[in-house]
Amino acid sequence: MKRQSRRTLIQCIAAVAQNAYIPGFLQGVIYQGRMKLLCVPGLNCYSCPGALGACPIGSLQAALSGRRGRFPAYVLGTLVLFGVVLGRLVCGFLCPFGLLQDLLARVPLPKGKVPRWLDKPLRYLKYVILVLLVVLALLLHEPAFCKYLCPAGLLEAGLPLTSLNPQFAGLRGPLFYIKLGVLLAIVLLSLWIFRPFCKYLCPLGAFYGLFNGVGFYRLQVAEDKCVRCGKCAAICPMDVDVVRHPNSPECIRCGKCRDVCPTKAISGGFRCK
Amino acid sequence: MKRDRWLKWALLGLAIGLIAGGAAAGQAAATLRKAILICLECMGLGA
Repeated sequence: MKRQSRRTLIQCIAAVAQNAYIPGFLQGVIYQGRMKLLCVPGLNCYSCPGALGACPIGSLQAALSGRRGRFPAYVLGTLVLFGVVLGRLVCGFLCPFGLLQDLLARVPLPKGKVPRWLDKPLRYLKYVILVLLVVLALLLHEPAFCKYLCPAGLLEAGLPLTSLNPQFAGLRGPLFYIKLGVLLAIVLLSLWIFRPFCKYLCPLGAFYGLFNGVGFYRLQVAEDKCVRCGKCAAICPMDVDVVRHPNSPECIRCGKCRDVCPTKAISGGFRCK
Repeated sequence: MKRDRWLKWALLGLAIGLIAGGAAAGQAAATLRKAILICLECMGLGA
């Protein structure tokens, strides 16, 4: 099986495995068992009827927004663990919202790129969102990212639960429609640009990206094999210059650069040394 | 390169320490309590 087909298969299995509580979808309720003690690696709303684990970003905000002011050691430790072991491999292989954007990118419509002068500053937006998420949770005692921005919450929880459970349908207010607008904007942008949410908005991707350069999973370019053809940089959907920055915080480890390299100079894997 | 070598192991140790410490302090149970309530904010409901 080719690498990209294998990646899609892993993404599908991960999305299903993280949302495998079937009664939730049938009855419009959520899973309340002990597996929700554990955070899942990707952006997967814990209020999704099928969710078996807790969303790490939602859990971080919940822990930070508590009025007792405790350091969120458990959630932060989980995030660092995923970051240092996998980094943004999570984005490329395990995140259900990443899978959705990948599928939308395959719709045969004209594709484009954000101009470089706008793309570069926008890439820092996700770090600003990550910092704001922490600050607002501490100051306002509420999960501001989940409440105002997270499209996964509406897609995976809001839409199914308000459709399946009449108790929730009556609670739709202006915020629901604002979030619906955000979700639709991201869906439409994903048809045109590759993974706009991951590139510009996702605080989880921003956090994991910090570990790409120091974690266990690394890409390596063999200098003696590289012929500087530029094919890797040209095909990279996240616009990474692979030869210069193989472990860029933007790299989601999709492996397209490895597929296209004529001399097989790019290798990737877990390195303990 | 040498710095990377020990840094990732140090981070792994830190992560395990934080998880163990947090779990011992009852934070895993707090995560569970939050995760089993339907989060209206996540769904954009109630406002």
